[in-house]
Amino acid sequence: MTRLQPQPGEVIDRDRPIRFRWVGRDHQGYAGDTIASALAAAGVRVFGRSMKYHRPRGLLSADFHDPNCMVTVDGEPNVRGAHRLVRAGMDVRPQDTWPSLRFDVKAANQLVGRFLGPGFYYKTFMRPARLWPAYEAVLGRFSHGGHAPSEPAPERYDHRYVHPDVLVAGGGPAGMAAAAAAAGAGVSVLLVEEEQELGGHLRWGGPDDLAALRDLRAAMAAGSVEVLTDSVVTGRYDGNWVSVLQRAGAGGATGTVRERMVKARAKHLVVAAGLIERPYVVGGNDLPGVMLSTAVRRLVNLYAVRPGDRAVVLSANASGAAAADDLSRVGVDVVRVLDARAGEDITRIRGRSGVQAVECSDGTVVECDLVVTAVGWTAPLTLLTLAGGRATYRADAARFVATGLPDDVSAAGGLVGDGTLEQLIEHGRAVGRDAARRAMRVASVLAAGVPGAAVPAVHDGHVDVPALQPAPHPELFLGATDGIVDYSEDVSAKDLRAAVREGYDSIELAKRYTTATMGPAQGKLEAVNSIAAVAAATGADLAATGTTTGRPPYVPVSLGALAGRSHSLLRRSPVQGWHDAHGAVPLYAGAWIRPDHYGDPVAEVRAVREAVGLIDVTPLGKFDLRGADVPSLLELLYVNRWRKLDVGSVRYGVMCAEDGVVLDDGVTGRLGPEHYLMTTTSSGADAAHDWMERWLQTQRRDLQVHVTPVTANYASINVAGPRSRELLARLTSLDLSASAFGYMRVRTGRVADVEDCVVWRIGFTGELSFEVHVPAGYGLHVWEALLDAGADVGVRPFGVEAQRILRLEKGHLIVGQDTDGLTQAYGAGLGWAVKADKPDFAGKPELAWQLMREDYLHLVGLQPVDGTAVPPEASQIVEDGTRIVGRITSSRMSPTLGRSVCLAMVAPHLTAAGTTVTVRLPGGGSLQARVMPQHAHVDPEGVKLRA
Amino acid sequence: MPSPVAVSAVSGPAVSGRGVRLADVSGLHKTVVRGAPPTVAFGLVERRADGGLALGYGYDEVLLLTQGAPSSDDGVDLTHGLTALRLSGPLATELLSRVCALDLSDPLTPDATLRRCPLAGLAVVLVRDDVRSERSYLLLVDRSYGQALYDVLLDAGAEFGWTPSR
Repeated sequence: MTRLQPQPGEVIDRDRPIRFRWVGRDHQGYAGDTIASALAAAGVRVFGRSMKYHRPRGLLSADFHDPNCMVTVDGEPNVRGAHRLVRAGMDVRPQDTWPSLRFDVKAANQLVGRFLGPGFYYKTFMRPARLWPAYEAVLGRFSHGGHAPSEPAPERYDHRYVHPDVLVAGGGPAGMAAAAAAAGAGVSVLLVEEEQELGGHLRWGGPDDLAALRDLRAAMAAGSVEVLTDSVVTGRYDGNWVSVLQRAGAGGATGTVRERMVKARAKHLVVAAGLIERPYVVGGNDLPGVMLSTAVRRLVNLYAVRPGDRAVVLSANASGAAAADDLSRVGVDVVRVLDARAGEDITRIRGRSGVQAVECSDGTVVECDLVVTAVGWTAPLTLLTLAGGRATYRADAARFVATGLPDDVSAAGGLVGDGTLEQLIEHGRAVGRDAARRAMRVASVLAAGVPGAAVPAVHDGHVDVPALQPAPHPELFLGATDGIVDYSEDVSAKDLRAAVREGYDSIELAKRYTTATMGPAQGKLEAVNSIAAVAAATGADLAATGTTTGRPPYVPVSLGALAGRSHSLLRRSPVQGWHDAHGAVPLYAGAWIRPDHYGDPVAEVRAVREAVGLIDVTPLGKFDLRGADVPSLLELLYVNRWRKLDVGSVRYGVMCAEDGVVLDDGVTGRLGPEHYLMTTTSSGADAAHDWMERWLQTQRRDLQVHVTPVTANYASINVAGPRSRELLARLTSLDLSASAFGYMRVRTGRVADVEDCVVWRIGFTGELSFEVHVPAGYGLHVWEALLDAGADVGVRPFGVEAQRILRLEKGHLIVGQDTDGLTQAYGAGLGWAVKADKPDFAGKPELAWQLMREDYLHLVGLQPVDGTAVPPEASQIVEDGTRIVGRITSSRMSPTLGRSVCLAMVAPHLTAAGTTVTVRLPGGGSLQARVMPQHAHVDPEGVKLRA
Repeated sequence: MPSPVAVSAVSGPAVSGRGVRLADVSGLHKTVVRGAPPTVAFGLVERRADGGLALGYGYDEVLLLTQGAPSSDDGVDLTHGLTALRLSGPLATELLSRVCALDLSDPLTPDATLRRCPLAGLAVVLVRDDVRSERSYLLLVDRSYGQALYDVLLDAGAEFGWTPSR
C-alpha cells in the first residue's frame, strides 16, 4: 500500500507529519491518520495475529469495529488501531505475538487446528481436576488481548451527567438531520458519533455526498446541538438512561481526560446508527488483503491509501460498485468484478501471509493481492432491542429490522431502511421533529413534579414520518467453502456446524459453546453470519433461528471509565489539621478521620491521670432538641427517666431498640426550659437520628419536638485530668468550682473569648473532666488556647487509643464494642438505668422478659491472673476445655495499674466476683482470669470523677 | 472574640478557572427555623429585602442565610455547622455535571430554587442563586465534609484550569 495523491474528502493534514513507532521502528503518518491508515500507507499489511491459530491478520473494515487491528499503545492494551489517531511519539506494538509479529511461534496451533475445535478447553481440561492449576497457568499464556499496564494511566477517567431532551446515537446523514431538526424545534440535543467526525458514509463518498455533508455540518453548526465525536452509546436502560463512552480523540474537547462515562437521562432517544457491512464467509476470508468495500473506500477517500495493486471485487450492492470505481480511479488494477446478484461468486481465497489469488465460481483463478467484498449489511439493532424492540428478519433484504419500539425511542435512516440520500435526510428530519415533540411531552410531566420548575407548553401536533423500507438484497452469508465467521474469536463456519452437530443447535447455545460473537467485536460483523451458519447446519431459516440477546455495553468499556474518579470523602473536625501537623497517627473511624495517638498513648494516659489532657471528640453525635415535649421523647427513647431533669443538669441515657438491644448511649443536658442538647456515640449518631425521626414522624406525631443535628456545628474538646479545672478556669469566667459546677451539670458561656460554648462536667475517662462544645469555627482557636494556657500544668493532647485505655480502666463500656447486636440492657450491666415502672419506652416488653430469664451473657470486669498477659479482644472464654461461655470484649495493658485489664461477656454462672475463668488465646494457649466485683478497675468509687 | 471570624472549614483559597469561580462563603449566618407550614415551600428560595435568602430547606424547615446575625432568636444557629461554597460562572453547571446527577437546566432548576442531592457521594444542598444574571450556585454541606466538598470540586474542575483568585 502506498499514499495516494490528495483525495477530495481526505481527512489527513499533509502539512502536519507525525512520527511514531511500530514494532520498534520509526514510521510517519499525518495528522488525521489512524494508526492503521498510517501503517497501511507505509506498506504494513499485517497488524496482528488471530486469537486461536495465530494466523496473520490485516485490515478488514478499517474502522472502530475492525477486529484485526488490536494493538498496544504506550502500554495501553486493546487499542483499536483502525480507529485511534496517530500521535507524535506514540509507541505502537502488536499484541500476543512471540517472538515477533512476523514469526509467531504460536502459529504452530494451525498444525493441530483440527484438535482445537469448539469445546476443546471444556473437554480437555476438565480432568483430572487436581491439575487445573497447572492447566490454568499454561492456558493463561495463550490468553488474548494484551496485558494490563502495571502503572496507572497519566490521564483521568471521569463521569459526566447530562439531561438532553433528545439524544441521537449516530452522526451520519439521518442522525445529523434528526439532531438539527430536533434542535430547531427548541429542545436540547446531544448527538453522539462513534467516528472522529460527523458524516457517516458521506465522508468517504463522492462529490454529491461531500456537498451534502458540508450542508449538514453547516446546519449543525448553526444550531444548538452538543456533539460528542469519538464517542459511542454503550447502552440504553430503563427510563431512557443512556450510557455514552466519550473518548479523548485528537481534537476532542475532553482535555486531559482519557475516557469519560457520560450518563445521559434522555427524554427521547433517536437511534441512527446506520448499517455495518458484513464480511463474506468463504475459505481464506481472513487473509490480509481481504477487505470490505467500505474499508476500501475509507482507505482511499479518507486517508489516501492505496489498498492494493490488483483487486477482485465481489459485489451484491452499490457499495461494491463504488469501491471498484474508487479503486480504478486511483490506479488500482481491478482485474475482476464478480456480480453476486448474477450468481457470480468467490469459492476460495488463496494465500499464505496475504491474498495471492481468488478461485471464482466459474472455475477461473485470478491472481490478485486485494479481495473486496460487498455482500450485505447488518443493522446494529442493539440499542433498540435493549429498549424493548424486537429484531425481525427480512429475507427479502437479507437483514434484521427492529419493530415494537417504545414511545421514547425512535430509529432513523439506514437502520430503518434504504433510500436516496435525500430520502434518508428527510427521514431523519421527520424523526427529529417527532422526537422533539415527544420529548417536550415528557419534559412537561417531569417539570410538573419539581418545585419551582417551569412547565413547558406541550404541542400535541402530529409529525408525519415517511416510510423507509429496506431495499431488496440477496442473502449472501456463507460461501462454497468454510471461512472465518468470528474474526475476534477465530470461530469458523465449520466450528459452528460442529457445535450444532454436538447438540448446541440453538443460536444462544452455539454462541456460548463456540464463543462466536463474544469477542471484542461483540457481533457487529459476525452476528448475522453466525446465525446463518447455525441456520445452515440445522436446516432452519434465519427468521426461525433468531438472534442472540444483545446486552450492554455495546462496545467494550474500560474499567477506568466505569469507575470514574475516586474521592476521599472523610469527615474532619476543625482541629484535624492541627492533629495532622503534630504527628497524630490517623484513625479512620467510620467516615471520620481522628487522631489515634500522637506517638505515645501510654504517656498520654499518664498525662490525663496525673495532670490534664485534651482530646478532640468532635465526632460525638450532637442533637439540638427543642419543644415542650422533649421530655416525652426522651422518656420514649431512653430506658431511664427524664421528666425531672433540671435546667443545667446532664443525665446519662441508654437507648434500646424495640428488641431491648442496646442501640446507643450518651448524655443529654437541659440548656433551657424547652431546649436540650443530646449527645450520642460517634458511630451511632446517624442511627440515633433516624431512630428519633422515625418515632416523631410515625407513632408519635403528636410530640412537639424539633430535632436538629448539630454534630458539626460544634468542635468538642474534652479536658480531662486532675488539673482540668485549673486549666479551664484560666480561659473562662464560668465558676468551675465543685460546689458551683458539680458532676453531671451543664453551663453555657464564654471560653477563650468564644461566646456560646456549652460546657458540661462529665467523665468518660474516669477523671475530673469538662467537655467543651465550641462553635466549630473557633474550635482550633480554643484547642490552641487550652494548650497554650496549660503548658505549665503539663497539658498534652491525647488520642482515641489513650481514651480507650482510660475508659477501660474506669470500666465504661462502648456500645458496639462491649455490646453486640444481641446485647440487651441487663446483659450490658445497665439494668440500674432501666426504669421498668415507666409507662412506656422503646424496648420495655423485651427488657421485662430479659429480666425474667436471666439466661443471658453479662458484662463483667476481668483481670488476668498473670497481669503481664493481655488477651486479644474477641478471645473466647471456655469451660471444660471446649464449651464457649463468653468472650473478651475489651482488653489493654493499664498504665495506671501496671497490669492488664479487661471487660468481658460471660455466662450468668460466672459473674460472681472472684470467679476464675479460662480464656482461650488465638494461638492455642490459654490464660486464667478473675472476675472483678465491678466493671471499674480504677477508682471504682468515682472519687476522682466527682472531685 | 477571635478575629477574623474563622468560620471556614476549608483550607484552600478561592479559585477561578475557565468559566468558573469557587469561593468559600461559610461566613454567612445560617439559621434553621422549623414549623409547619413553612414560610417558603421546600425547593424554593425567597430573596429578602435585607439581601438574605430564605431557603425552603425541608418540608417544615426554612434556612435563613444572612450576612449578619438574624434579628430574631427563633431557630437554631447552624452558622458553624454548614460549609457554604459558591460556584459561579458560565461553566458552573458544566463543572457540576461531573459530580452531580441532577438536571440543572433552566427549566428544571431555575434561578431561586433549592435541591437536595448527592454530589460525588456527599449529601449537599444545592441552591441556584444567580448573581447579576450570572449562573451561580450555593452549595451547603455538613461542615465536617466541607473540605471534602472543596476538594471534590477542585478535582472535578481540574480541566478548567484552577488558579487562586486575586
